Amino acid sequence: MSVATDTDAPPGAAPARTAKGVVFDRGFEILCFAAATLLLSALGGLIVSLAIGGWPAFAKFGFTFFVSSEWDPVQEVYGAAGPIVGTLVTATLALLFALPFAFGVAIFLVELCPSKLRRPIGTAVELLAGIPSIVYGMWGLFVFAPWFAHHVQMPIMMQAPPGSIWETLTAGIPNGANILTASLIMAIMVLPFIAATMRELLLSIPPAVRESAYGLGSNTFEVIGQVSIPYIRTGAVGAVMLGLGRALGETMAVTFIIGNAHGFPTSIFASGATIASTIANEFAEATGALHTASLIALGLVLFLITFAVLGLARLLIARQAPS
Amino acid sequence: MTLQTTFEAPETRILAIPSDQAAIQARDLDFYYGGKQALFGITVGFKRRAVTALIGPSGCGKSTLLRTLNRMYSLYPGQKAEGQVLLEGEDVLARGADLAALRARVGMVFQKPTPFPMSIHDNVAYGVRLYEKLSKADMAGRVEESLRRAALWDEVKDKLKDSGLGLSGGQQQRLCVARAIAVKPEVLLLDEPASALDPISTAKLEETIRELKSDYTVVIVTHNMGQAARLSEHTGFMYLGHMVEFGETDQVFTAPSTQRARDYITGRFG
Amino acid sequence: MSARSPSLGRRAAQGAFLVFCWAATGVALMALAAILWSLFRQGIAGLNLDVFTKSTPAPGSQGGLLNAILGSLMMCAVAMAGATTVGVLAGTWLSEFAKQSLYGKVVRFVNDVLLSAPSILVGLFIYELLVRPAGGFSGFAGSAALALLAIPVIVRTTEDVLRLQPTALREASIALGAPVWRTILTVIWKSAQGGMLTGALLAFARISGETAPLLFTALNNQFLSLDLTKPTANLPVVIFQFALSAYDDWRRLAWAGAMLIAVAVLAVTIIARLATREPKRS
Repeated sequence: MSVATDTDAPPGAAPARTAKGVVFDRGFEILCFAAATLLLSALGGLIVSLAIGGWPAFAKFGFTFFVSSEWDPVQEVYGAAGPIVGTLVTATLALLFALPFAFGVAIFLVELCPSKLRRPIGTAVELLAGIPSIVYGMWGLFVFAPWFAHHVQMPIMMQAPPGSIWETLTAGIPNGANILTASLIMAIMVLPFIAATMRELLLSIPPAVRESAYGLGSNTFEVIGQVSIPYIRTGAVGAVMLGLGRALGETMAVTFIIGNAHGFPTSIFASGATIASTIANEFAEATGALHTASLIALGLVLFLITFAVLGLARLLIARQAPS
Repeated sequence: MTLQTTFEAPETRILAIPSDQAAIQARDLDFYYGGKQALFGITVGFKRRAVTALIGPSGCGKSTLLRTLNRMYSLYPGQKAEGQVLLEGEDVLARGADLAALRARVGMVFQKPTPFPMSIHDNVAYGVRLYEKLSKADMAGRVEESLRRAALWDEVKDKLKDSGLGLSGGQQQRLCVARAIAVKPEVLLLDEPASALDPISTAKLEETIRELKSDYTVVIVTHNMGQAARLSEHTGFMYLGHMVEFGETDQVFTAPSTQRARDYITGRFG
Repeated sequence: MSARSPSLGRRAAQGAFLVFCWAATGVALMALAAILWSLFRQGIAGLNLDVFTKSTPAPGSQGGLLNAILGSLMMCAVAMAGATTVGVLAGTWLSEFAKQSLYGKVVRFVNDVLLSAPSILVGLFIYELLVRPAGGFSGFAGSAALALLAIPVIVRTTEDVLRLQPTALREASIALGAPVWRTILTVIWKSAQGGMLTGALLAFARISGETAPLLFTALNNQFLSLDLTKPTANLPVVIFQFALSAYDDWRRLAWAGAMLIAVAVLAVTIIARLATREPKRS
């Protein structure tokens, strides 16, 4: 040990050297930690409350709950197959419609758009994502559905030869409120989300990779098909799954336009229901404890489906872009 | 001045600064980033009210040594130091040391300017407010004094309320110096303070540093050997986590005693 | 295949592809235009002074949306106050304290799940948590549901912008002897405030148009009320009920309400975007 000679401090050094509030450091960290833990308990609480709330339905109907399409509040019989299939069908159709367009928009914004238009068009696509879902619902019901019924649904139904499979698949009330229009509206809604993620992915491709392909004499189409898409493949699948996740949980727009009929959909022009639309329509006016429980059980099913899809999507995107 | 010279291992030559002349000194200091050792048995003293320069190739541990002196490394779990760092005889590596108080006594300026997102006045007052309750007038006096010492006062006296982010890079760096000296530290650590600056700003900053040594113990890490030669009284040459040579600056630059220091200074590597 | 001039097939594929990309963008823009056109045409037709000065009417009588607008504003304000507090603190924890810890990764993943969880499920959760035990719908339950939707957005943006702040800035404050909490509050948050504000605005935009979670938390209230412990009127639910009603007056009000919400949401979105692009200099 050296001999301490700290009398020789610089002139005018401040004597009191204990900073104010060091004691709060631990407290602040604990506060932040508590907030983070609140998130965790929110998700935990959500799962537990859905499981508990839906338990009576699972207990009463067992596995039949998932396979029966009978949904009858009067008889107190509830089977979720109709809404489950409705959810999967509408979300998948929406995705199929949205995907090529989203992809086209993303490529347009990255590769083709004149630089002056890039920002306004990019913002416009973002606005499409920002419109509240209830507005899509109203527009779908009052504007799009009548137009669709008149200009698309009726002509197609007229064309169908009586007695053919074609006729069965297109049977329905010609009012435009059906599974297909619900899917189309949802497609418009998820399009900007997929396009935005795709755009990020395309922009993440190192310029040198694309330039070397161009340097070999490839045209835009070939560079995108042979270089860009393979390059972003994993992430792109993730982006599509994220879009699917959104479509699965979409509520208001679908509730407006899908026609709200339980039971198994057999035709693309038939009225149907999704899990979310069923809950939205019936929950506040549920007729009994079992009805409420069945709706909550439906909610749990929806959560598990979206959770699986989103988990997969995150996994794929994370693998594409290791940060 | 009674400086005694010791020859240790043949490849190193360390001039020992007597304890009563050193404001801050390291003893048998080892440092680890996780499992990787970055400093090996550093024993060195930094003379009170003088400038000491640390030179050496990238990754030699000079910045690490600096960050040990104010325990900046304690922010990061996994980094640890063993040995002693004595600030006026007090071991700052000791368990339970008051880190905030330590850092108030040992100021630091970084490679890139780090003005806070607030006015020039508030930047300088930021550290002072942590420890002292000054009246508005006293604070204004302290701010002016600090800015004057950092040779920035004339350039900013009419815009003290403007954001510190609006200054040029060189001005920002001098603002950071003013901010560090406003809390009246005993030791000032400068980590390559001029590496992001243009030559004119660098010259101004060097002028500032030269002024500071009358009141402060300054330790400066630099890549620029000319800067080390111009500013410092002592120079330490580090290599691969070892202090290879430490001595009076003239001697280290004109007649290095160790082969490695000679090679580095004559430009054979680094 | 000639090496000098591309084959006809290649040129055709390229041409068709380019046309498709232009067309896809055109379709998306037309959809936006069509929606905005109907919204404004019908919305402006339904707009008059009564909308802002009278409460929702009984069937067949005249009225406005005052109670719904007020209810929405109150619930969003309460939700944003709660969500900003929790979200900023949690985002700060992830960025400043969690580092690469396992718990940090878990919280980050949970936040991602909440970010994309269907909003109607959040409504169900709050119903089970607050409405059922309390024995009735309330504005506070609605606020809680909206807050739970806003929090993940704020957590995400807070963490992202805090991570962008240079390490040297933190160390510079610590090096002056400042405690960590003070460093975060006065230097890091201040430096990141633009990005954090954007996050809050985006969260606000997200919740202000939400309908589904309010259907069975806040429910609705035909009368003007400032009491959030009771069922509370709000624009989205009023729009939903009025749009599906058989009365023309109600439908007109629904369109006017939808336009108000859309304009508010789009305006907030645009402001948030502009705020991020603004160069950081005060």
